Amino acid sequence: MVNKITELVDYYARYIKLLSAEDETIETFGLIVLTIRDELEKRWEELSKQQREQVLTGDDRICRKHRKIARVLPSPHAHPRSHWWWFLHEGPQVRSQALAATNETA
Amino acid sequence: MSTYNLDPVDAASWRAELQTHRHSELEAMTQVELQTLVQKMVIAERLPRRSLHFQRHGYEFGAETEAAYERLFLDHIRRTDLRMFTFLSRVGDRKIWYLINEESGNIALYNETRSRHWSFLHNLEINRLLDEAHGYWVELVREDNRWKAQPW
Repeated sequence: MVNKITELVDYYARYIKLLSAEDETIETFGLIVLTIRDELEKRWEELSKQQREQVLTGDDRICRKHRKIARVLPSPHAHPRSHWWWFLHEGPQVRSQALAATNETA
Repeated sequence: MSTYNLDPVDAASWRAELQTHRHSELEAMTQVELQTLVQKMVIAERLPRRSLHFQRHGYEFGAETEAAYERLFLDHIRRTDLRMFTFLSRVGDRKIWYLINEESGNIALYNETRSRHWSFLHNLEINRLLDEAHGYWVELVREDNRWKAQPW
């Protein structure tokens, strides 16, 4: 049986790749990437070291593709700044800013 | 106007405008027009650009061949329990439909502007996607033998 968390990590990586698509589905893919990233964050403790690295590699990629993601942003819904992916329309620096804020409060 | 630099409040209001616009478009359609549109979406006999979509999404269904993937797509659009949502795409102002099976997370995308199915995919977090779509999408429901559009 496929472990759902493994599936989620794989799904995140695959949909990030699909963000290169230049058609109407880009909005769908963008929204899927963001909602899947939320789920991965929620289940962070369940991820193995290797899976965490895979997610972080995906995070690097979505930062590089921030202009693509920006097509579905900003979200009209409330998201915490620690979920920096919902703020990528402001630029890729939101990730390091969120990380710095987390370290300050830790 | 560029919509990429909106703050969340403006984004919510901009999406609400699009939702209202889309809702009024559907409200302006007659029952016969709505029925014709729904029929077009559910009786398709093929998935255009099958190869491309199979490459992108075939694995999500465990489909080993393009034909198997397309068969799943055809079975999906013929279900009678699909939820039908529509919105105006930010890319090219297209009228997009999502035919969703909430239980499985399977989604057929239909591009009304281009009058053809657009893709078929499996979403692992369908409820999160629906949550995020609140205030933006419009749902078409069947009530008392009539089609009724309602903001989602």
